[in-house]
Amino acid sequence: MVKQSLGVAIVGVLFLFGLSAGALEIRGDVTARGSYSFPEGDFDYGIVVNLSSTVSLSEKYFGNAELLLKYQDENNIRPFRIREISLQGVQAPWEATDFRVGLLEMTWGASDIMSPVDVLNPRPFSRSLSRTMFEEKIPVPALDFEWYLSDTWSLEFFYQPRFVAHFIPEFVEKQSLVFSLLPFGVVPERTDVVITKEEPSVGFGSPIWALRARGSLGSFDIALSYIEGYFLSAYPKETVISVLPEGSWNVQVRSGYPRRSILGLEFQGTIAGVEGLTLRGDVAWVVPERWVNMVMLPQGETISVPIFDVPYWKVSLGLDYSWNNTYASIAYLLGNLWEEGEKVSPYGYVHVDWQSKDGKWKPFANWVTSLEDGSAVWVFGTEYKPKDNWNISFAYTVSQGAPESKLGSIGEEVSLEVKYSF
Amino acid sequence: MKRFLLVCLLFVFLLGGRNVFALTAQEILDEVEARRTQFTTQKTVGKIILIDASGKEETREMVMYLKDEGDDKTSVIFRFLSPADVKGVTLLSLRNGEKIYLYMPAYKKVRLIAGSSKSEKFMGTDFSYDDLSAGYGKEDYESALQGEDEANYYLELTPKKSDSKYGRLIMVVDKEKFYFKKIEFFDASGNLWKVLEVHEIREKEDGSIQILKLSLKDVKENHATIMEASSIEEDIPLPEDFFSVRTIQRPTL
Repeated sequence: MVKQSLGVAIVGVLFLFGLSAGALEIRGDVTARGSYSFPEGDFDYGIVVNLSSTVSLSEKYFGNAELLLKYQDENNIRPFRIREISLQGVQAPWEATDFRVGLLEMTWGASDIMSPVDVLNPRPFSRSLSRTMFEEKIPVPALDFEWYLSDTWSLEFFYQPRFVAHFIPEFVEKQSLVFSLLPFGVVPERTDVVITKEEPSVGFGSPIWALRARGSLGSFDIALSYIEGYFLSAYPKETVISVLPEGSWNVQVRSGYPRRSILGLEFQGTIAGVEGLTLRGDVAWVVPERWVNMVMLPQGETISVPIFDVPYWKVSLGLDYSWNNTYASIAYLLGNLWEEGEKVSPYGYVHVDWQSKDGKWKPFANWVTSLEDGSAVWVFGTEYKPKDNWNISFAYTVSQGAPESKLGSIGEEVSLEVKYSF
Repeated sequence: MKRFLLVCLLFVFLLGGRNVFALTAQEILDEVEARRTQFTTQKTVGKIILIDASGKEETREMVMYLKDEGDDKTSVIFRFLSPADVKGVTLLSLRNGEKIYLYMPAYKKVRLIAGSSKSEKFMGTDFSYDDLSAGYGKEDYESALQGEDEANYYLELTPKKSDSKYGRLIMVVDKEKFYFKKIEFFDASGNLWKVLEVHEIREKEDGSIQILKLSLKDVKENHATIMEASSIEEDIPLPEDFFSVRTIQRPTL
């Protein structure tokens, strides 16, 4: 609440500054979307307004503000969000440096889908599998400072003095926790869960920080990064399960955010002699803090359930090729946005789209499959651009596989999205 | 007798004079190149008008920076200023497209574009990346003079590279000012594909020619693009590292 009030105040200052300077230019888009889920017979709809403005404070300094207003028929949580409020310096304070400071949205990684190094921002909750969902982030209070050593090589430093976690609604968190306790005999519909979270002690002296060196090597652009921080989802470390006299269950959970270090490699480049082919990828070596959930059963027995024990890899490797207005991309993923530790599993991803000669139609097909259990999701659709500033997108999604499989529970859905930019 | 010889010589000169002083196709192209405005850096502000088959127009404002890198290589930064859905989208092409990057402000990300995109249409226009960076020099084309009239030379250019998407080009060159007024592009099967026409030029004091307005029509798709410059600045001072990934991420250029 304090953060939002602060945000509104900063936007207000920028707005007043813009009015006084006669230079405030607000741009944005309005997106209306609706979807119908066949298995559930449920129609969902919503509208999102994105607003952004950049105010030039001088030749080298800029104020940036991006806001999001949202309404949806169900789970209309956090209808007002700040996407970014920052002060940006270009060739400032020194000629060879750029910086941004404020509430920032960072984008790291070269791959087009689920980059394992793009983890500086937490993400809002969404049940959707749309591209918009993959791009949505929660801003963090931070300083991002980049020093250009030459016109192709730079060193970037990221400093975040306050911890911000993924946003997951409490009922969703409780639901998934109860399901994880099914092996201990709990009955979901008769179980009351109380979760107490302990946030890591992040401050100015003990910040989350990251370093990234990036540049060009021949036909490839590469980046090496190191991130020192915490997982953005909470993991249980102490769970007490008790059976109440009336036969219901009570689960008290104390959870926290394990520390993690990530060594990352990003690359994108072309291969000599294979015109049109681009190789992009991100590789992350994640070293987690050892984390164990101590589960105390009603009988008094204590079981230790290891959550993080050893380092692990997360990967997104892709090849893309374009010809005759057609674009195809194939990728191998080790771990999705939410999988960590032993839960990391392999996926295959294929995307094809084709743009009509007049540039108005762009039919596409996506296929994601779990290489572990064979479940898959197909998305067929088209984008249509009737005129400048208007975009319409229609998609049909269908999954295959058992309901308990990685992707089988997604079901069958049609969705329509209309976007107007101004 | 002496006077008769003189008259004969004059007659021969008058009849054959055109052939004695006629320019070859390559000389005409060299003169076109020599008359092309020379610069080390250039900034152009203007608009692009896209016209579809039904005649409907869409206008995009843009700013473009060019740098002559030598060896016939040019680096380009191109940014859309309007409309809203493409505003801020910025392209960086280094040394005739050796590397091409696209910055999309909505994603806060710089993306390397695959080499094959060079023959794809540039941002919905009828120009390919190759069209934007191409010259018509002897390195790339065999040239032949097909004819001339009072106002123009007519040249036929045949691409030297076997992988060229064009079979041949017919270029109309203004005899007085030596700039190409019109180029017809034919595909490998000999069918007319695109027509480029120059509608407005500015002749500078040194005789060099700046093109202010041109159109490119894709005859096959019945789609046209008009590029119109509202201001052109040349030899502007730009930092050494201006044509870089760093620059295209800036809020303003």
